Amino acid sequence: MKIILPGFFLVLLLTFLSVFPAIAQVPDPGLLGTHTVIKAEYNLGDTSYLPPAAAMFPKKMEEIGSVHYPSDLSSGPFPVILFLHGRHSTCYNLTTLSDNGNWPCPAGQAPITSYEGYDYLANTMASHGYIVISISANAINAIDGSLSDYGMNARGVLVQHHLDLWKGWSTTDTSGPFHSLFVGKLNMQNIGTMGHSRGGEGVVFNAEYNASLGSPYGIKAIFTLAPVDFLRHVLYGIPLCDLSPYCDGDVNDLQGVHFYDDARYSDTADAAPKHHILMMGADHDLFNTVWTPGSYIAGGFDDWLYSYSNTATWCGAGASGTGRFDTTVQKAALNAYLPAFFRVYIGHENQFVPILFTDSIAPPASSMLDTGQVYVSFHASKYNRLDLNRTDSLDRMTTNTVAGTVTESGLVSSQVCGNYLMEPDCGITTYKAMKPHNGGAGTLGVSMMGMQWNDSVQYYMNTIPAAYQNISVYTDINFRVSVNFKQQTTGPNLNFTVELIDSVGDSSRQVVANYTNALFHQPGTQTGDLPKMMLNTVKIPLSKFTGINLAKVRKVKFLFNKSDTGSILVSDLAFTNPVCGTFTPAYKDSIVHNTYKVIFTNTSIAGNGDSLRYLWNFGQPGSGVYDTSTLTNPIHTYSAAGTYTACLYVTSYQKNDFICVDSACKTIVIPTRTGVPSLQLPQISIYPNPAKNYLMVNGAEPTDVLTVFNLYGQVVLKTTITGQTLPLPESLPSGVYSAVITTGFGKVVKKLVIER
Amino acid sequence: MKNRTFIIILVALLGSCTLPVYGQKTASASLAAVIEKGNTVEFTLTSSRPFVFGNNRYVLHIGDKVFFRNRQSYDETTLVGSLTFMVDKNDFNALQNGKGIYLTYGYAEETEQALEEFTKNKFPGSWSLGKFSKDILSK
Repeated sequence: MKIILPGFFLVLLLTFLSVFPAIAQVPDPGLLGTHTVIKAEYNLGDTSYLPPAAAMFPKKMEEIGSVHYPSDLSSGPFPVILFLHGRHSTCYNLTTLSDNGNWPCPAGQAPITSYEGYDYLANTMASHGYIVISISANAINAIDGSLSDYGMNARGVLVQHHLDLWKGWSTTDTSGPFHSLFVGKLNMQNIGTMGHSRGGEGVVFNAEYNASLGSPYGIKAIFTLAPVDFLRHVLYGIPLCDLSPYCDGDVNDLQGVHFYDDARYSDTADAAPKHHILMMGADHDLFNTVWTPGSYIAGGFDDWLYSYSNTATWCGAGASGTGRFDTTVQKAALNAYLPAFFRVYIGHENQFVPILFTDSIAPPASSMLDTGQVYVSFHASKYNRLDLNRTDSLDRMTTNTVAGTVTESGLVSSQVCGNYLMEPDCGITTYKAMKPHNGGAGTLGVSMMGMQWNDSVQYYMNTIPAAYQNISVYTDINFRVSVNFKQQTTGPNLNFTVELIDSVGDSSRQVVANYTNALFHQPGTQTGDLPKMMLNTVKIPLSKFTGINLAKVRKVKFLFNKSDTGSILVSDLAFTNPVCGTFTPAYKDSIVHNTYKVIFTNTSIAGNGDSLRYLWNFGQPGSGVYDTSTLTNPIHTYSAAGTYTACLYVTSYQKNDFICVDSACKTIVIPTRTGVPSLQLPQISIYPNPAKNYLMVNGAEPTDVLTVFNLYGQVVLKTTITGQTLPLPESLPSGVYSAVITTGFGKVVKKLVIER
Repeated sequence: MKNRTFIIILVALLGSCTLPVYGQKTASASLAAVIEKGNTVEFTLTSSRPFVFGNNRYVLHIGDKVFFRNRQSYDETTLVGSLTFMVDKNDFNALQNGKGIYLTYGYAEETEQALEEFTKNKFPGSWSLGKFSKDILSK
């Protein structure tokens, strides 16, 4: 049966339909959507904005930006994405084309429009129904080196100011550059922000600033692109994705990974998932077309060449066997992964969840990447995770996070390391840029479990206490891992086995290399920069561990029997389950005897603490808007006997920030009525009569329909009787009308007089 | 349309232009002046090339102390890039004579020993600027 859903019901249904077939084949998030996209610019002045004291910024800033939006805005409001660029030259000399850090640009110079460097991303997102704003921050870049906060507070305030501007332009302020074009078109409660480089830390500061103001805007997801993290603020409560380019020649210590690392366990109330993407051949600047050499008039530079030659091992674009992405690939890669993140957390398109949660490690085709060129890590919401061993203190060598014992047998070395305070440095006695997760002088890093082996019988084992042995409620076991390049200097990818042992001693094994390429030897030989030790998530489905009782798993063992020798670092050993937790859509139906009226009773069950919303479709398209309902327990009156398919679509707003949809459909058979319906017509009255501005209907059901005809038989009003008082449109002139109330038992006709 | 054509031609020519290139970490750098200004002591470093106008931080290391606040410029006529660090006078007074002075791009957390290795091995992004002495202020 064809089901026709109007408006947002259709969107909701399409979302549902796109979610559940997704696991088999993940759609490509980098492809263009169906919307035609328009780009527009706004420029209120180079020094038109004097920021408040919170910005800690001594000068006026520019109010300049661009917006990409669907050409057909009629289905708005649309979710909003805002981009903030990083630090780059601000002006260029019109004669010599040399670039500099002036602001505003003096005579003979022109601005470098860094904010336009993400137009390709904006175009992709807008084609999927987003309004994408990208703002200029040159005034900050011009002087932030002299500021104690490097301009981060100013960046946060500037983002907030642009959101304020757009709030005005989308509501009451039609005096702006777009007049009334965007009125009602921006959903300021569903916003994603992306910051590149210093802009990455800037959007984190903005989230904090927005929260400090009482969260006037709904910032629902943050993407930090090769960010700095100078001030080590920790973002909680908002889904985060951080991207590290392995060949970053600017922020070469990949310090932005701390945004992921620092937020994992430090706030027990934080339920927001975190993601990390490592792109093995990307540099810092080529994500921005304005910063890309050859694609803008001035200032473009391959930051890898800040330090090293074009033929340097791996990251030099001209090296034999180079691992570098060319400019097209680098942008294509971001153009796949950034939309995947925002379309999950802003668009609630859960079909891309397998990309973010490594169910699928094959990169989307549009990214132009192969497996091995990109690694995605995730830290699931606390509601979707049981931490077996956080490896977050020296004690975790003997006792894990669930108070089980931890043992090893025969390892060459094993130690919790990397945090810096009271912990060794995992044997990576080298420079900070080569170990981004590690702590350094005065800064904390990630505690990891370092393990080195040289015999196939050696192992590392976590015991699970009885209270946690039922892992059948989870779907995966996962951990982050990296090869320790200082102790394992060469050779093919490492490999080992994960073994689960249940309470009666049955065991099942899975080989790690079947699920990841993360055990690779990090490339590059530029001491001080490369190679870099980066942790990447390995995820193994528990369903693969067959022949054991997953309800009573007593031990998790890493058995080092696949590589003769090896040295690895492991963190965040956990069991996880799907982002869409358990909820059960269901309903009962009851046909009122000898009528076409069906009483639907919702029996859906929500997951613990999640909230459910409902959309019913009664399978009778001919009833138009009355074919759907958002009530919990609706009553629907079919127009005739017959067989119908009634569906209940349940949207679960989950504690982990995900919105999930499932459904239950049933066949409803409405028998032919017998007897005289008129005998069962309810006693319905209308008053006042004559009426002026409103009409009251007594005795009707909420699903009954009032239709008013004029003397020519034309329908002048049709409305569901949702309440007793129904307003009469001013357009109805004084006169005599027929009021027909359609009920589940038949029609009641009343004479209605309107006197104006 | 004319403007667009002009820009396209300029972009096409870019590869053959010899421009002052931002960001060669390998360029030389030297300490040009140390001047007291009120409660601040300014260390001015110069280079024959522009200093990187990027996202990482230039860091002035003196012993185990690090200083970040700076302003940078490039003089197109003299082709000299400048980087001026602003050090609080109290912090300046607390510095110990004989400690090494280093400039790095990034590498804020490296130890003095690591910086010695950096400069000894000529790693990019690090420069040794001699030993610190309070007498430097008269320079």
